[in-house]
Amino acid sequence: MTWLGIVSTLICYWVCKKLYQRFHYVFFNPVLTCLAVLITFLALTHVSYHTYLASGKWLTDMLSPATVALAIPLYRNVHIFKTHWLEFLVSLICGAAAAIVSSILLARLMRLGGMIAISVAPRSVTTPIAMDISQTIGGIPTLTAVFVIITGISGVVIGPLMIRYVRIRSAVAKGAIFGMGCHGIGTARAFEIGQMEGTCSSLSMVIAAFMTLALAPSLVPLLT
Amino acid sequence: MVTPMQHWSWMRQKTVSFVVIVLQIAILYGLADVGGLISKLLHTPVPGSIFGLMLLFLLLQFRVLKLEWIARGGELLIREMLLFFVPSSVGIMTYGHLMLHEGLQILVTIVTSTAIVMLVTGTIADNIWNARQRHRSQRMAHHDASEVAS
Repeated sequence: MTWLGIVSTLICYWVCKKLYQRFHYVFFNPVLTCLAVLITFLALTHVSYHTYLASGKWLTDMLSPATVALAIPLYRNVHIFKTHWLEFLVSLICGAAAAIVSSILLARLMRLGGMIAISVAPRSVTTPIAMDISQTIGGIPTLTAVFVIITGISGVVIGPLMIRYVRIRSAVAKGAIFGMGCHGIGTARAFEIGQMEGTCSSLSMVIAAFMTLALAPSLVPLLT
Repeated sequence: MVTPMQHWSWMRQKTVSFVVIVLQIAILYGLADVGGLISKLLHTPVPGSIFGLMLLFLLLQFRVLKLEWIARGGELLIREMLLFFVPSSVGIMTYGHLMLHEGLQILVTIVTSTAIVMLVTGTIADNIWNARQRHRSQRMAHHDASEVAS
């Protein structure tokens, strides 16, 4: 029984990824389709999330080494950071602050509960770090994980529109938009635009995580 | 035609690269654990994986670890990161009630906030980039002019 969760997730993920590679349509994003299929499957077979997670947590455990592995793009591209450090640091501090402040204020404007508002705040950074930040500031990590995915998918739609209509020209800014706005899912999209954009996005994603980590514990209590 | 010999060497290659990747992931796993230990010892809210990231960066920078010792496993993890998100996001089903009643508000919040974040980040980065680019070309022009003068 324990292996069933992993095996079904792996097969489902593989099929959904192939589907996305074939059609390349935003709403066929592998996470989204995989989620829909798995939830339907669990609901139909009356398997509880708890049972599924007992097996699926083996995959979740891989998130920490994957986060550690982000040091690789950082190390490879440290020269890009050295040339454009001012662009990255200033825009990402402001971006991280904007993410925390706007999510909490909008959540309150929408009359969402305090717990939800706190769980939305760290949503624009990569999942493992977002879940950790959520835990630290008193949110619900699982809920944050879901918000991170929604952020990623909406960012992939909004990003290219933003670049076109706000007339963003530099590859650095394009990368920063995706890395700050929608983490890993955005970085995958940025690599579709170009190598430099993708690299800047992966750099921004890591720096954005640091900025959010530094800002969230002090900003969130002020706003809630 | 694939001879049994070729087939055997292909199998061996695959097995070797599989073992290499597993070992490299084990190194990264170990670094994440060390990071977790540091986080616990320092009593900070900074998650262990971040300490692990910084540790790996420093080890690479000071050439204690070679990039090729971890690159294949690490890049596999980064490439397939979406897979590791899946089990925890399936957790949304335990919040079915919440999503049914407040899903739309949550969606509006996230979409609007993401647009704001992208607008802020993009315009600031692009403006600084433009300003520095102008500054650089001015300096170059100045440099050229002084060279011509001398």
